[in-house]
Amino acid sequence: MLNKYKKYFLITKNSILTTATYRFHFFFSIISSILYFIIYYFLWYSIYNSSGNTILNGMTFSQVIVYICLAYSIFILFKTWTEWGISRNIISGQIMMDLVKPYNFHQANLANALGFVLFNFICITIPVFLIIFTMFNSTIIFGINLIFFAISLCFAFLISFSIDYSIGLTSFYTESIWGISITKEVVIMALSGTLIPLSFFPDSIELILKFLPFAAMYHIPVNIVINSTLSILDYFIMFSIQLFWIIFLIILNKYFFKHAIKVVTINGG
Amino acid sequence: MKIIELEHLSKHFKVLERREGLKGIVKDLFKPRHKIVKAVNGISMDINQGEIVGFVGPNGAGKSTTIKMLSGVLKPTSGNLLINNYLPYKQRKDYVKNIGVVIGNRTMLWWDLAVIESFKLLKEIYQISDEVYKENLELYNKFFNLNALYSTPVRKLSLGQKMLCEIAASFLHNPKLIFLDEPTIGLDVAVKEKVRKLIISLNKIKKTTIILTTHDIGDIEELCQRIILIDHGKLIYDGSIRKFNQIFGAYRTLTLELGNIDEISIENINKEIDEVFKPKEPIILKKKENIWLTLTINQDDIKLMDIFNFLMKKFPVKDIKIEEIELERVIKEVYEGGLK
Repeated sequence: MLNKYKKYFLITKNSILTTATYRFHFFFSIISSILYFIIYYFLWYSIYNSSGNTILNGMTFSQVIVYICLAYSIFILFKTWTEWGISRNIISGQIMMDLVKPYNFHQANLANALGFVLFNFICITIPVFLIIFTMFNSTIIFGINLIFFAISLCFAFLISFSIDYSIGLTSFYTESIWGISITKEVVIMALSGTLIPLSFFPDSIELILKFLPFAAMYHIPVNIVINSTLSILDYFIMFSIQLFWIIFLIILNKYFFKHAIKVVTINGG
Repeated sequence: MKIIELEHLSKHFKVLERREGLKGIVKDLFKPRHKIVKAVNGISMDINQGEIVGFVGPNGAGKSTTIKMLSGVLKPTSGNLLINNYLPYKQRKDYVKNIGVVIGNRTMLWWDLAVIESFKLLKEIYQISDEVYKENLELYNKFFNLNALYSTPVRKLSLGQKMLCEIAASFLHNPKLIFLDEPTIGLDVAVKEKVRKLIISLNKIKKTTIILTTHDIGDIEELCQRIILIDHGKLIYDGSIRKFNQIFGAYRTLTLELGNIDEISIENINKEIDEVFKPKEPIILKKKENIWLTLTINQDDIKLMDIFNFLMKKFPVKDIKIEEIELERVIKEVYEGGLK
């Protein structure tokens, strides 16, 4: 049983090794993330300053900063380039070499993405997180919620991966996914809470957004960390939403792949 | 024992037909037109275990599409296909355990990692036992000294080194069947020789069936006992290479050194030969570098010795060379419709 999954562990390992090959990649990822964050810090700073209130939509300035910082850290963490990898292989015809290997395409991609995430976590997310937190003097409450945070982060990764993977599969039809992937990024940025905390949306829209997979990726893990008033029922609802989207997307992708593999044309001779 | 059975295999693609000009681009966006391209059109063949089969045809003949169907990646539009008792397309994941694929400009290996890391991963993917894995690595090292390459990242290998590693990787799990799509493309003569040696010895040692696509006649002559020629998605010839040579290879080219020759003397020679031998098809005479004259004859038509004696008597021949027509030229002739 374990033997069967050993190949996927090795794919994960190879993916970590591959990412580590290009050192400048993570230096610049760290720098660009910090720059991005500085911009957002001052944007929110001026929003709070000009409004004259210390609390906007139930959040203080430092809460918003922690929220954005965490959400953005997770956002970089989940950057696994899965859909770009699939699309690149489709365009170049290299996809054939994936399809003549006796492994599950979905699981192999998941293992590959997991390698990216582990690498990102150690080399990008943690440094960025620490630098931002010391720079802006923020605090979060650590407690039992950290365990729930870790669990919800794993669930969030599966959702994020499933969305990337299904966009990758569209390249079986369209070859290039440039437009669709950029759209995805914008939609996620806007609707997941990475850009603006969900509580800044009008109440009715906030309610809808909370049930969408985008919020399940960022809003839920972040909320677990910064909200100290969550009840058991709240946890139950949040994990249910995440699990629902995981199962839904995995089943969807399974059928999607079955159809996509029938229409795929392998480029090149 | 048959390993591949193909029956009326076809693959048709629906291709977007682009209109011309700016207006056309806009129209294409909203109302695309499609046409059907018959890439493979009813191919039937059987291939036995342990054979090396040369799969040749001009560019765009449908070779690669056929290979893609045989390796289970493309779904045939129609026809039957049974390989190693599997339906490749339907049972892809199980089927591919027993095949290997090498494509000239694709890679089975992980681009950024050392070769040995890829080998280790392939060992797990194909669930190769420790003994088989060790045995194969030793074999590769004994014949081709591959150990020296294992720690180099794939992207830093030369084309030839990479190809050796690719072929080694594809044989790692002792597959029953291997598809080699242009394995010698872009290699120099010495490396080509190495690659061919590797293919032949692995075929001999492991009794692997090999389907070889190539444009290199050297590959075919050295490796294959049988060739399959396809064009426009249809089978043109399927048989032994010897028979192929017999059918198409009755031609001989004579090259004579005559001293200075001009156009008029060539015409005279041509006339005299026509008078004496009355050949059924015209003899082609060509001047080469002023002193050489080449003529191609069909042995079924004119006996080689007769024309040889005739020429020796009539002309001041200083030197003479006789060459068999190359397979390359035969295939070219077939490509250009010479067979019809």
